[in-house]
This record gives sequence, structure tokens and C-alpha cells, in this order.
Amino acid sequence: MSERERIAHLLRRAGLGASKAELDYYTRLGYREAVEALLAADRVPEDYSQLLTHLQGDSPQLRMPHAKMWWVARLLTTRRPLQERMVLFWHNHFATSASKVPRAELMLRQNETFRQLALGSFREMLLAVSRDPAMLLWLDNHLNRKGKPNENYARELLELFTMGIGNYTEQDVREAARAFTGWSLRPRVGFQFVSAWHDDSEKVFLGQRGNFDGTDIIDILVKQPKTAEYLCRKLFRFFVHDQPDPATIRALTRTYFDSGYRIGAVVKQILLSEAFQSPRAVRCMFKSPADFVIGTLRAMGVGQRLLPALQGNAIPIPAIGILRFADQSMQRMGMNLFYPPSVKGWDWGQAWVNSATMTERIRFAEAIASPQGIGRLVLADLHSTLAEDSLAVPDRLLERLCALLDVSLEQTTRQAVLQTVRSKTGSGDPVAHISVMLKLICSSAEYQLM
Amino acid sequence: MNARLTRRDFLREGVTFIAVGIAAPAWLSALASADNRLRQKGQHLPNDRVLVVVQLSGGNDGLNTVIPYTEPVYRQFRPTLAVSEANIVALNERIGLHPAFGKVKPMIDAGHFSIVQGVGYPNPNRSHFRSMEIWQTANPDTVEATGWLGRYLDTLPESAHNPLIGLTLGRENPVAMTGRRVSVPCVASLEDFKSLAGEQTDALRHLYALHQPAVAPVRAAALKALDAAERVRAKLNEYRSAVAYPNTPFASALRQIAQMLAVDTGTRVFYCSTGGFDTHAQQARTHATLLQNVAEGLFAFWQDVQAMGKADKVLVVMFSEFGRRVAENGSQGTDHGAAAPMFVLGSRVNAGLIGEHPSLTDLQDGDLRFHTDFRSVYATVLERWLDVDSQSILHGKFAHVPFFRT
Repeated sequence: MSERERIAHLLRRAGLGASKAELDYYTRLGYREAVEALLAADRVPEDYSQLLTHLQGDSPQLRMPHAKMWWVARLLTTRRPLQERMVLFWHNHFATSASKVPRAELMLRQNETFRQLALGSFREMLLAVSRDPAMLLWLDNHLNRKGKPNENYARELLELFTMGIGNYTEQDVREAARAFTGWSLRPRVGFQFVSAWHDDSEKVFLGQRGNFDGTDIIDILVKQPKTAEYLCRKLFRFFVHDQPDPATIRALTRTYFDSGYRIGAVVKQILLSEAFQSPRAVRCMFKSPADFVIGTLRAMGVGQRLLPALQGNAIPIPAIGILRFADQSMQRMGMNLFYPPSVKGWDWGQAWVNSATMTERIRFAEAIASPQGIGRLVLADLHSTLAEDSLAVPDRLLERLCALLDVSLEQTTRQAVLQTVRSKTGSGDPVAHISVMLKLICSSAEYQLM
Repeated sequence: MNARLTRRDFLREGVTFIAVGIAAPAWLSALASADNRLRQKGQHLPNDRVLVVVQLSGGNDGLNTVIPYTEPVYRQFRPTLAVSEANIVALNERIGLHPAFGKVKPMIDAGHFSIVQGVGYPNPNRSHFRSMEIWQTANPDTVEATGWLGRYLDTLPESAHNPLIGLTLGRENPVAMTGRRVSVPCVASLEDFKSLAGEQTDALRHLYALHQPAVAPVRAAALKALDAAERVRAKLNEYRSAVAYPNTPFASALRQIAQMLAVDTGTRVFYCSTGGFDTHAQQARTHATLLQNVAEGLFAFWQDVQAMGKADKVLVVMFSEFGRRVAENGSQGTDHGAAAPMFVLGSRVNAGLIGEHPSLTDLQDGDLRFHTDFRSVYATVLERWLDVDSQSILHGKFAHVPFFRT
């Protein structure tokens, strides 16, 4: 792979896809520096503080549609793409659904926590999540009281957030639940430890004995080799592929412990690993709905064009339209942001691709390629982006569009596209050509991989 | 007359000739000729019974669905959640239904609804995800990549030709519907699906002509969508149900299943899920709404199926991954439990209660003990309803449960 191809791969997996401008920028840095730049997200100034108010507009109350548009806007426009990808990772890892959280503010607060601690210490993340109002409501820990513990949070903490199933007993679940009694909420304020509800008596947890509270449980959990393995494996699978070899996982868990549980250190090691660049990884991962929808719109420069529109007081209706469209498209493809199907999050990988979701991906392709409706906004500047000399020659035009969308089509697919272009459109209308090509490229099997 | 009507008419008339071009799906001509051969011999199509599996996700509180309402321990274990005796829909002097599940009663009285009590499996797993996997794969011992319904569909010769041999209503396919050979489509709404078929299909079929292994699953999914969409579109043009369904996603899924039944898509297994049963806190109202949605949805569906004269052809089986802890927790909810009832709806069932309610005093870690293995229920469905040997599908022989009339 050329350096530019390596960077494109990096941006597909550790970013959110790339417009030509982004690819140029990171290529100038070189691979290693590009990784550093992605990890040092906070060096890039970014201000979305007013956006939420503007999205809320005249509505007296912040509601989930506003929260969703806000996150989609960040995904589409951010210049800290790794940070935003990690927010997706944590949203999937600590999967909390707004279906059981009565206030949109609380979902956004959790989302901000994921962002702030995205690449920081896993111990801090666990502590923050255990005190996070949305999580407390979602898994009922706010009601977990001495004498009558509620096991919901403790069970998922062990099964899904730290060690993974099979590495603890039912007794450990019940003991951990007792330790988290009294970790509750004060309405409109947030986390509150209610000592009267806390069971301070002795617990036996993973073979250790003590008058543990929730913090003790977390301290025991982050030190478990099983936790390190579970987390490192999940991160590796998120960025690279489904089959890490044992040596790679061992090396990552060493980094996890040596760095004091720093997520950023583990992610950096993954992105600099040979496995990340291997043929088994490159263009072999199924795009999630976010990769597909956000990646396509970013690649077409929609994110860049949207940014100025989102900074004013009154957000133009077409901009709102794009945000809604992106959110609803992802939802139809199986990824309803802020509403994961269960506390286990989404099934990634091949599960993203089935007849129902492919139907939706084809429909999305049709919508953005259509000269009416949403397509008009998406296609707005495409003509000027594409060099003049390519417009008249279908082969060349297809090549340019493929480069723009960062996809490599098989020869048979290219021929199929060109044949359809010839049969369906008049010979010389580049607008019609672009429309047909765009639809078929985004529908193609190759484009579903990254 | 347009092309797709012609094609449908070909199927209806049993005309064997269909022009086969690159874009014509192979199943279409194969199916047409197979159907035709049978019709010429004056035979009916082979076993055309249909199974509809309904999954209640999250762990339904079986104890507050089918309730031993006269047992004093029930009320001791459930100080805030016990359903008062006055509200119980009694089935006999000891067992009754949650009032929100009341729409089930007329189906029992009609002789069509059976409740199999005390279902579970040894060493119950209280993880939603592992337990669901166990129910779907019918394998409590090892993690398996195929499900019991997928393995059943694998045995059907028609599965090679009919892209709709099985169908999941929803945006994800459960492992239950995955076979070694067969993988069924899933669809969120038939209307969306239909929009895929039509003039653009040929261009898309050309697009997926490549054979590179890395993209094979995408190609398979897309072609499956196109095949199924064409069949749906060819079949589903005029049918409208006369039954009013409740306005819930669950009822909408059932309505779409009924639509497919009405037009004979040849689908043998349907799968749909409804969630929200993980009631750890303030359970009473939530659980009542959930039970009501399920009972009313099934009631409407069954009316529809009867109205189209297919009650003898359809069996519904409903399960959840586990029941809930007998004692309520401190948050007016219940934690993960073990044994629970399963439900079977069909015209040939032994209506009412099958087997005893599990004991409320002889518990295992605070949970109800099962006495009927869920694979026994599956075995009964496979052998008595679908007419297939269950042993290879379930990796073992399981005693039948008497929920069919003999």
C-alpha cells in the first residue's frame, strides 16, 4: 500500500471516512504522526456549545430528536474523528437506551462523558458510568437498596462491561449488587450516595473478602486479567478484525496494565500494529450504518459544507433535513442512535448486512443520488469537485467518483455500472451519469466493506 | 398488463415456461415447474403447515402471567406485585391469567390456546444473551452457529428454490433462523421491501454478479433481498385484511405475517420478536401493557387466520429466554429467574393448562424449577406439526409434551 492508501485505511477505521481535504491533510503528516494527531483530539479546537440550543429552537423542552440531531451533526462535521468514533464504541459498550431514560439531557450527559473520557483511564470511565444518571436509570441501580438488592447493574457490569460471561459466579453477581446499594440519584441533580440504603456488611467478591462498596468492586474488576483481555479484544475487533491472535491480545493487555488502564495507549498500539495493516484487515470489515451513512456524507463533503450552517443562530431547514435524513437512514439500517436494541449493544460485523438492511442501503443510495429532495443537497457541489475533464467520459467519471467515495470496485462491477449508464441515460448528460453511478457505487457489495 | 402481473399469472396457472435471462431468478422457474408437476399429478403440495415463532425478549415474568393465585406464598413473595384475586382471569380454582393477558381466555375457550407450564433447561443461565442463544440454538451445552428453525429449514427441499422459505419480521435475523445451508431474509416492512423490486432490479442484479469471497455475504444479502422483494411484489398486490389489528409494532409484524399467509408465499417459518420484558423495577404497569399488547396482537392475528380459512395450517409458539425471580426485589420489580410457561396457539391443540405449575416452595436459588425441557416442546412441534424427525435437529431425543389433541 502507498502511504496515502495506508492513511485512507486509517481514516476509514479510526476516523469517520474522509473527504479529499482530510485525506490530503493527514497524508502530509505521515502515518505515525497521523495516528498521534487522531489520538490528540483535544489539540483541535471545537465548539458545539451553542448548537444544542439552536437545534432546540422554540421547543420548550429538549427532546430526543434534538439530542440525536446534535450527535449526528458532530459525527458529520467533527475534526476529531477518532474521538467521535470512540464515543460510538462506548455507546455500544455501555449500551444505554433512551427508551427507559425519561430526559434527553441525561442521554446527552452520558454522551459527553464518553467523549471526555474516550481515550482516558478505564477505571475512571467505569466510575463515571457507575455514577451516570442515564445508566443508573437504565439498569435500575438508583433503586438498589440494602436488604433488597436489584441485580440489574451488577450483572451487566460483570457480564458486558468488564470480565465477560463465564468468568464469575451467580454469587459474585449478588455480592456486587449489594456493594452498589445506595448508589442512587437525586432528581435534577445527579448521582447521590445514600448511606442509609447502602449495605455496608461484608461481601465475598471474586474470592476477596471485605466491606466493599461500588468503588472497591470497580478497583477489583479493573485489575482482573479477564477484564483486560475482554476490553482489549473488543477494541481490537472494533478497529481491526474478528480474529486477534493470542500474542497480540497478551501484548495489548500488558499495555493496558503498564499504562494504568489507559484506553488511548491500547488504541495507539492497535493502530500502529502490523495486524492493523494486514490484508486480513484492509477493506475486510463490514461497514456499520454509521460508517456507511456518515462516511458517505463526509466523503462527499456534506460535513464540511454543513459546518458554517450549524454555527449561526438559526439553522437552515435544509441542514436540519440532512441531519434528520442521516439519523433516520441509520435507524432503518439497524442503528438507532441512543436506542441500542439491548444493553449488549449492536451485533457488529456481518450482522449489519442482511436482506432488510441491504434494502435500506440501496434505498439510501437511491435517495442521495436522486436529483430531487435530499439528493439535491448532497449533490450540490459535486460538479465543481469533479474535474471538468472527467465529466464527459463515463470511464473517467466513474474512476473519480470511486476515488471520492474511497472504494475499489471489481472489474465486473465496473462493467455492470458502465453498462447500466450507457443503457439508461443519454450519451452526453453528466448529471444523469453521476446520479446512476453514485447509486450503483453505494449499492455495490464492495462499498459495504471498509 | 405489465410484466410482473404476467409473471404472477404464470405461477398461478402453473405454466412451466418462463424466459430465463441473466436477471431471472432461478428459483422462480424452478418453483413454477415443481408446482406444476405436482398439480398435473393431481396432488396437493407437500406438508404446507406453517410455524410462527414469537419471542418475548428480556425475560417474561411467567409467574405474573400464569398465576397460582390461591397460594399464600405467591402473595408473600410478591407483596407489591401480586395480582389481586378479584382481578384474576381464572382458568381453574388454583391458576389464572393476569387480567392484561385476558384476551387469551376466549382463545382457550375456543380450544385453540395451550399453556405449557414449567418450561426451562438444566443449569439455567441468567444472562439474557446466553440464555436467548440457548433457546434459539436449542443447545445449552456449547455455543452453536445454527438455530433449531434454521436446521429444520435445511431439511426442506423447497428451501433451495424459495427465497421466502423462512422470514424474520425485523431488522436483524436471530440465530434461531440460521441453518447450515439456509439463511432466511429479514424484512422490516413489506412495503419497503416491495419498493426494491421493479425496473431497477436488473441493474442491481448485474451489479452483484461478482464472486470475490470477501463480499460474498453482502452479495448474498442483496440478492436475497431482490429475490424476496420480487416474490413479495408479485404476490402481494391486492390483499387487504378485514381484521382490525391494534396499533403496535408487534401487531403490525403479525399483520404482515398474515398478509403473507393469505397470498401463499410458501413461507414455512415466520419469526418475530417483541421486547421490553426485562422488568427489574416498577414492573406492574409496564408488564401489564406488554401482556396486553401480546394478547391483543395474537387475538387479532388468530381472527385473521381463521377468517382466511387457514387455522388448520398455522401454529404459533411463544417463548421468553427465562422467567423471573419468585421474590420481587426492592424496586417493585423482579430479577432474572428460570422456569416459565410457553404458549402454543393453533386449532389442534389441547387448550388450557398442560403440566403442573412449578412449586413455589421448592425453589432453586430462589427460582422456579423446570419440569419440562424446552427441547421437548420443540421436539413435539417438529414431529407432530412439521412432520420431521427431531433428533438430528435437536441433537438428541426428547419426550413429547401432550399439547396436541390426539
